[in-house]
Amino acid sequence: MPDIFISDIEREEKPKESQPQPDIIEKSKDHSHNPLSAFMFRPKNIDFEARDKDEKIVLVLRRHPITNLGWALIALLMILVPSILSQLKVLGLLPFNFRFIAVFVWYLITSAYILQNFMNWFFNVQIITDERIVDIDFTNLIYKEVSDANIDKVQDVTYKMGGVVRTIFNFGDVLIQTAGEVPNFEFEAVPKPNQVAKILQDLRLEEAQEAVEGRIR
Amino acid sequence: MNAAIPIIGISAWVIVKIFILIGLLLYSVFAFVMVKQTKLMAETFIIRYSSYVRLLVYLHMAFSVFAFILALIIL
Repeated sequence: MPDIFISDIEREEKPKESQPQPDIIEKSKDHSHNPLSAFMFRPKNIDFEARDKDEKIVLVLRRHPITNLGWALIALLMILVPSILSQLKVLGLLPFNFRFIAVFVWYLITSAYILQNFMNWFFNVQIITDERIVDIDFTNLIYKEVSDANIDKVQDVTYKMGGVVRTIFNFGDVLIQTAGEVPNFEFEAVPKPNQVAKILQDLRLEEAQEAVEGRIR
Repeated sequence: MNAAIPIIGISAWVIVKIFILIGLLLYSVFAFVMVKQTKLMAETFIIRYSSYVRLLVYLHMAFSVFAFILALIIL
């Protein structure tokens, strides 16, 4: 028998259960687990001091490896200096024992120069997790600065690429303005700045979605 | 070496040696600071290969101490 009257209550559609958004970021393909990479997407075996238990690392960035070229060339020159000086008979002016110590100490200083610059590149990283942005800076041997801001505090993301080298090797600066205590984050000379900006944008959307659905941690 | 010009009764090379030893002592302190800093870095950002970097820094410190001892003996 056809229904003559259907109650409004019954007709009301059941509200759709909030489906967890398919992870937008999962679609990206640039997975890299090489610890020497400058663009590590969803890396494994990487952690940082202040990470929360449920926090997932989305992206780890360093300066593009090509930015190491300057100090690498200087280091190469430093390695060659003793040979050049001995060719020019300059070292011959010193007694043997002093000459030996001078060359030994020179290579010690060269190794310190290489190690210092390498560590400066290796440990100065920017980490983007699903919850926040963390910037780890070691400016010299005795200075460490770690700043972070929640993703929902990000107000504006700008990236800039300019110059021949940066265009060829696809790297640039990403400037992130936040409403937090640290007003700006600048990721200098990071690879694929357009992808970094896109990932940040996706994370912001995801965070906004979570806020609407009340899934905020 | 013996031909060095004597300054206030001692050979100029002895003065050079003292300066080298002071320099190497300070360098060893610097190498030690480097070890401490690397430890701090590796604790802040935990990544594969950091143990190799730490090993290199330890080797650097060992060589700097060795250089000091060597200079003390052969100069």
